[in-house]
Amino acid sequence: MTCQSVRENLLSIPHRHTKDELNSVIRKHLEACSDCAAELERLTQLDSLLLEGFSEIEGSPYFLQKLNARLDELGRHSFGSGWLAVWLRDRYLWTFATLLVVAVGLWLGFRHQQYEQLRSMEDVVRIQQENLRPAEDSDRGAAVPPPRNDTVAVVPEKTESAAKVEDTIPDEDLAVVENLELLQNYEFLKDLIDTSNGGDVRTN
Amino acid sequence: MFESTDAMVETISDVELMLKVKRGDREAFGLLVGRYRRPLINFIYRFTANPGESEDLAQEVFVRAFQSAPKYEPKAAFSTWLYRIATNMALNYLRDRKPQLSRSLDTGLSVEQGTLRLEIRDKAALADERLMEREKVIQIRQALASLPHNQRLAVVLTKYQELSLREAAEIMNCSETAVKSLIFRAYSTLREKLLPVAESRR
Repeated sequence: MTCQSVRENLLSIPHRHTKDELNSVIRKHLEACSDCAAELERLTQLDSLLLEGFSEIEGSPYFLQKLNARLDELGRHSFGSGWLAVWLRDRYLWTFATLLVVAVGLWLGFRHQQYEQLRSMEDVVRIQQENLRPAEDSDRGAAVPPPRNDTVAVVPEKTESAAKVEDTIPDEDLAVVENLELLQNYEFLKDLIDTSNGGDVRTN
Repeated sequence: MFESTDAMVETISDVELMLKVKRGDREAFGLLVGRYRRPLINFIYRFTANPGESEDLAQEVFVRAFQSAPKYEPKAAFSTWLYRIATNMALNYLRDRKPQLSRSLDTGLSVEQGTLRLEIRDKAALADERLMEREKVIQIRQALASLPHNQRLAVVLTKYQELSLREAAEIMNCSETAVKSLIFRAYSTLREKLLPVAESRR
């Protein structure tokens, strides 16, 4: 063992002054090497000097009481162990989860509304298709089937002037005009269905 | 025969007590405070060189330990865990205090790396120091305070607190070799600075 390694080892032994913790190799080296023995002496001296620098202090006898008072105070200011404490402990997580649920709810609500609108439009189109087909057939001169429940069909007939106007309408605007007619027909159909159900307007 | 309650309490390990604290047992925490109050106050006192503040800091350490009890996992020794909290608090305290250059203890002390604040408010410590040779004490404290924080911490943990190199390494979150190296450098500096004091003793 070299002097260097012995000196390094001496530094890392806490109770070197008692020499109990020194292993046999170091002890043998110290017996043979006066320089290392002197180094141990200097280290021991420094150790005792350092210990003189700081005497043990006891602290206040009321340390525990003061600590308990602090902990009691902290306990009063904390929010206990209820749901609020759970919320406060992971408040960022909970806030994120709430926002996520709200966002998903809004999205689902929007999609539902869209679906309802689409369905009502489909219903309108279906009703129109069911009820307007005979009217269209009559326009073409086909035999008009008798209205259901003998109700009076007040289908507005296209006049010659209206047909002329329609001819002058550009193709791209024609769809708009047709939709307008559909809406008018829808109003008419509603009346028709009401009357067929209620039987208010009856002929014969 | 039955063991007395005190003897039974003494046999309960720190980890067992801390697991009780984790379940909200304040009495178990009181026992832990009783075991570690004095070593912790002295550790902070030696590391910060401020006896007046060391007790308050020790209180803070225990409060922090109590608050952290729900997260406590018995991976390392309880003392290591507690010393780690204390080390962090003491380091924060030293960093915050660094610009504060005050002189006290009617000594007119001046340390090379700033002025060492030595406020001796603790009556017991003051009485102790009166008995000692004041100048020598001041020189020793100056020498220790002039060390970088990590060297000082290594010396305080191993020399004053009598912890092993392994324990010190765990507290300082480094290897045993690193602690050894820190002690080696610290002792080289201390020997140089305290040579006149050591000579005067002979």
